[in-house]
Amino acid sequence: MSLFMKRNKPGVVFNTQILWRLNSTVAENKDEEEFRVLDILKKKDSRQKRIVRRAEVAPDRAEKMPTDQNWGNVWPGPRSFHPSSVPLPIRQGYVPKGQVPPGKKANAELMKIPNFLHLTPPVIKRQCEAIRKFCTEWPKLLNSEEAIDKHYPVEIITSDYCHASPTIRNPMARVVTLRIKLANLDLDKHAKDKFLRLVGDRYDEKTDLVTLTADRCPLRKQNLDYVNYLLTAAYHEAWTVEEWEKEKMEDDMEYYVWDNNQSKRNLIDWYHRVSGTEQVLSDEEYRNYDISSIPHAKEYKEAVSNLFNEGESEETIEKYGGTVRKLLGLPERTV
Amino acid sequence: MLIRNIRYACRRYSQAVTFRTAESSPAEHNSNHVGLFYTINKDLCKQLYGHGGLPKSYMKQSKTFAETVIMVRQPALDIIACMKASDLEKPVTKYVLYGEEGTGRSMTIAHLLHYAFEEGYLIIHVPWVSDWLRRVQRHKEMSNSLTREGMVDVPLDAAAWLLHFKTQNQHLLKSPELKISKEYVWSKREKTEAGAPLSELIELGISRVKYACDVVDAIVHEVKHLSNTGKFKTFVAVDGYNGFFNSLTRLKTPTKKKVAPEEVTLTTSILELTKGDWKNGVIVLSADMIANPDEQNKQIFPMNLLYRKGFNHLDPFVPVKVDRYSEREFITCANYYRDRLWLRGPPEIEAELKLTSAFNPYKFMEQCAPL
Amino acid sequence: MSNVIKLTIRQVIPVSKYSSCLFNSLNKHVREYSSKTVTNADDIFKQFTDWETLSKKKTVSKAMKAYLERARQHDEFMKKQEVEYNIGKRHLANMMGEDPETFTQKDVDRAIEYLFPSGIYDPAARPLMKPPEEVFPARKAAEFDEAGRPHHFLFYTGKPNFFKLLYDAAEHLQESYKFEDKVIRKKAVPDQNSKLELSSSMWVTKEELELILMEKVTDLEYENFKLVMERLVSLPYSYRCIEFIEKYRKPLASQKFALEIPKPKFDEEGRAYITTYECLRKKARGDVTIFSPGTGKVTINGRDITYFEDIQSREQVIFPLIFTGLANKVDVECNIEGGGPSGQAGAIRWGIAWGLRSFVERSMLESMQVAGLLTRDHRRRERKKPGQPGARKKPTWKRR
Repeated sequence: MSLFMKRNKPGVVFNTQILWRLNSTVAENKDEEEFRVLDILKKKDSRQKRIVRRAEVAPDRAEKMPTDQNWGNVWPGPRSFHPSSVPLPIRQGYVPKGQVPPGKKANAELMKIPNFLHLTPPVIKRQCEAIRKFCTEWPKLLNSEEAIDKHYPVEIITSDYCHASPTIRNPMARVVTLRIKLANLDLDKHAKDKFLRLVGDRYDEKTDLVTLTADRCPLRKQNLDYVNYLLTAAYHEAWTVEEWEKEKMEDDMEYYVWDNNQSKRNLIDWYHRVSGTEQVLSDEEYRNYDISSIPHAKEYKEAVSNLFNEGESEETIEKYGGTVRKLLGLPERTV
Repeated sequence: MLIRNIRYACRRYSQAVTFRTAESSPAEHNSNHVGLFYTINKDLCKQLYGHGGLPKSYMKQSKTFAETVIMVRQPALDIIACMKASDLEKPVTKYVLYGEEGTGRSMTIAHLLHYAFEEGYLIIHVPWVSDWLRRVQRHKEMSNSLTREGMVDVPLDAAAWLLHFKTQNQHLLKSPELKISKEYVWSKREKTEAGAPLSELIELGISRVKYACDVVDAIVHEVKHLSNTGKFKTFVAVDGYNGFFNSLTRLKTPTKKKVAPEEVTLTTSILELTKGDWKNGVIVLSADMIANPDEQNKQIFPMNLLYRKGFNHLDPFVPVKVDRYSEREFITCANYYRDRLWLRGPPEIEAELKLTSAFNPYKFMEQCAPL
Repeated sequence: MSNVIKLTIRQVIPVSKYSSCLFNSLNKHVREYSSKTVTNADDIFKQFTDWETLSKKKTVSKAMKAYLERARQHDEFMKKQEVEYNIGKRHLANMMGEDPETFTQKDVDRAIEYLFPSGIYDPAARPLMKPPEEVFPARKAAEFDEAGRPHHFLFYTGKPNFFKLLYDAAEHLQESYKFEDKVIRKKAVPDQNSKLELSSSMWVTKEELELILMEKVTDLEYENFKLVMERLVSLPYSYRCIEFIEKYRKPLASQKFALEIPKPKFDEEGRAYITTYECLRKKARGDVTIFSPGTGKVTINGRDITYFEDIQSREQVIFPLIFTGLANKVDVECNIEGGGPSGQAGAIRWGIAWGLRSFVERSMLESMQVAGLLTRDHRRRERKKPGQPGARKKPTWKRR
C-alpha cells in the first residue's frame, strides 16, 4: 500500500482500493452460501430457466402407520414388495467393504424376492381359527401306528405342486403311489411266491412293503383306478394255479428242497461206498430213500438246506462244516 | 567264516525262541507251534514248488530273505489233524479252503504239500487253474482233441504239468509198484503196454506233446485205480478250483468261438479226480475269488464261488476258513520282518500297521515294503 | 521496521517484475495488518483495521463451513436412522405377533428370514435389518471447531487416534519405571504372582486395529505398535496397566474350546459314547460314534476298515487314534454315504477327532488343533469355467 503511495499518485490508488474492497464485501455477502463457479459460456442462466419444479411428494403411508395396527389388514394377499407400504428399514444388496447396502426405496432385489408379508404368524393363526370349524376330530382309537396299520393298511401317496409359470398345471401331479404291507395280504406259500415273482422289484424286503406306482394315465383319478386294479389283479393271479406251473424245474425253485437235489444223491452214494455196497439207483429211489439209516444225516440235510435258503454266511458254513465232519468221522475244528 | 557261522547259529538260537521253530517236519507241528515260522530245505523247495506252488510275491520275498519259511497256522494244522485221524479206507475227503484275498490259502496248500511229501503220498498238484484257462499269451496253442469229439486240448500246458508231476514225485516214481493197468494206443506205431511203469507214460507225454492231454487223462485214471487197490495213497491239491466252474474261459477255438471250461480236456481230467468215488486219498481245494475275475462282488464263501454246479460235484466237503492274522501271529510276523531288516523304524509303527493292514497278511507284507 | 528498509531498497534498484512484488508486498501488508503489527506509516489505515476485524469475526472459510454442515447433517441422519430402526423394530414385532419390548436382534434376523426368504448364497447379499451403528461404517466426529482449532492435540499428525495410543503406551511405560524405582528404593521385591499371563491371547490384527481407531494403519506402524506393547508387557509392573493392554488383546480359539466340548452319554452296557453328526468332506456325509472303553475296533458301514481298499484312506481314518494314543482304547462305529474314498475318509477322520475331544486332555486338544485334526475342510470342487478346459487351466498361451 505504501509503495503505491510513494510511486504513484496516492489518492487514485487509495480510492480504487477502497472501492474494490467495498465491492468485494458486497459480492461476498451475496455468495456466502455457495462457492463461486466460473461459467464462461453462461450456461447456468439458460439452464435455470428450463428447470421445472418437481411435484411435491407426499410422505409415505409407512410413516403414518401406528405400531399396534393389524398387519393382516394392511397386507391381505401375496403382493410384491412395495416400499412405501412396509414400515421396516430393510436393506438388501451386496456392496464392497465400507459401503452401505441400498435402502428399500426402488430396490429391485427386494421386489424380486417372493415375500411372506401376507402370512405372518398372527395371520396364520387367524386363518387356522377360521378353518377350525370345518375340521372334525381325529378318531380316538387310531392313536398308534399299529392301529392305523390294522384298519387302514393301504396307503395312497399323491403330490400337489405350486409354482410360478404360465400354466398352473404340473405334469408331476398325476403320479399315484400305492403302498401296502405284504403281511396284510392273505396269501399262502405258493400264492406268496407267485405274488412276489409278479411284483418283482417293487417289493422291499426290509420293510415288507409292496410299492406300486402309476403314471401312465393323464389324470390322477385314472392313475388311482389303475393302481387299485393292479393290486387286485396281482392278488387274484397269485391264487390261481396254472397248468404249466407243474413243470417247474429244480433250477427255478426259489427255495431248496434237499430231497430232490444232487446233494442227497451224493450222500447216498458216499454212504454206499463206505458200507461197501456200490449200487446204481434210479431217480425215484434216490428221492424216496430214507436217510435215517445214515448217522448224522438229518443234521447234514438241515445244514445244506440252510446254506441254500438263507444264503451263505459265516454261521451257515460253520454249521455245514461241523455236520460234514461228524458225518465223515473227522475231529472237530480246533479253534 | 567260522565266526560268521557261529554268529548265525547264535542268532538263530536266540530267535528260535521268538518267532521261529526248529521243527521242520510238518508231521510234528501241533498247536504249540502256531504262529511260528519253520524253514524248508532249499532242494526240497525246488522239488516241490519248482513249477509253481508258492505265490509269486512270496517267491520274490524268499529270494530277498535267502530262505523259505512258512508260518504254521491254524487251518493247516486243522487239516493235518483231520488227515491223521481219517480212515483212508473210506472214500476221499474233500477240503475246501476259502477266505479273503491275501490270507494265505496258497501258503496253506504249500504247507500241506510238504506234509504229504513227508508222509509219502503221491502228489497231484495243480498250482493255479487260471494258468490253463485264462492266461492267454499271444498265441495259445490249442488244438481240437483227437480222442474226444468237440473238446479242446491245451498241449503245452499239459506237458508242463507232466514235468511238474514228475519232479514232485521223483522218489516215488522209482518204486516198481507204479504200473499201468491198461494198454494205451496212441497211434499206429506208438502204444504203451499194460504193466509198464508210470514213468514211461510220463516221458511219452513230455516228449510227444501232441498226446500230452490224453496222457494226463490216462494218469488220472491210473492213479485212481492204484489208490483204490490200496497200493498208494494220493494227495490232490488244486489251487483256484472254482476256475473250472466259470461260464467261459479266455480260450478261443481256431474258429474264434469262446470255449467253456467243460470243453477243455484238462478240466475233465481234474474233475474226474475230484469226484470222490475212490479211496485212499485226500483232496484239498481252494476257492479263490481271483479265479473268477469277471465277478464284480468280492465273494469269499465257497458256495458263491463254486456255483450250484461245483457244489453238487463236491458235496459233501469240509469247508476250512483261512483267516487273517491273530494278534500273536501278527507279532511274530513283525518280529521276523524286523530280523530280516524288512521292517525298520520305531515300535510305534507296528501299532499303525496293525490297523492299516487290518491283519491281512498280504497287505502287511506290501505295506512293509517301502519302510 | 525491516519492511521499510526493504521497500527503500526496492526503490533504489529498478524493479522489473512489478506486479509480482507489488502483489507480494500487498499481501504481506494485509497479513500484517490482520496480525496487528503496526508500522510507522499506519495511522491513515487504522479505519480499515477496525472494519476488517469487525467483519472478520463472522468470516468462516467456506471449506470450514461446508465441513461443519456435513458433520451436522451426518449426525442428524444417524439420529433419524436410529429412530427409524427402532420404530421398524416395533412394527416388526407387531407383525410377527411378539412383544416389542423383548424383541432382540436375533428375533429381528429370524423374522426377516421368515418374511423375505432369499435363496442367495452369500449372507451379505440377503435382506438385513440392523441397527445403524452396524450398517454404517464408523466415522470420526467433527475433528475441529468453528475457529478451525482441532479438538485432538495430535490432530496434525494425520492419525491422531493411533499416535494417541502410542503416546498412552509411552506414558504407561514411564509410569511403570517410576513405580519400579519407588519399589526398589523401598527395597521391596516385585510380586511374582501378579505377572501378566498372556499365553492364551494375541494382539489384535491390523484390520481390527484399523476398525478400532477408525484410521488406516500401515504395516510399519502396526509393527511398531506391537513392539511398543510387547515392551510394555515385558515390564514387571505391567499388571497395573492391564485394562489398557486388554483392550488390544484377542483371545485365541482354544479359549472357546472349554465351552463347547460335549459330555459323553452312556448306553445300556454302561459304555461312554459320543456321536458326532454331520461329518462332511467334499460330498461325503456321515456320522461317527466313539465308544470308550474299547479295543480299537473300527467299523465302517457295518464293515471292517477293509471298507477302504487304499492305504491312504485307512491312514486318514486311524490317524487321529494314533495321534492321541487311544488306538487300543476306543471303538469306532460310523455310517457314511456319498462322495468317494478320499472324501469319506476325510469325513470320518474329522468325526473321530471331533468325538475324541471329550476323551482327551487340554494339552492334547491344543496339539490336535495345531495338527489340523479339528478343522473342518471346506474345500469343494471348483466349477469349470466356459472358455477354459478346467477350473484354472487355460488354453495354451500364445504370445501373439
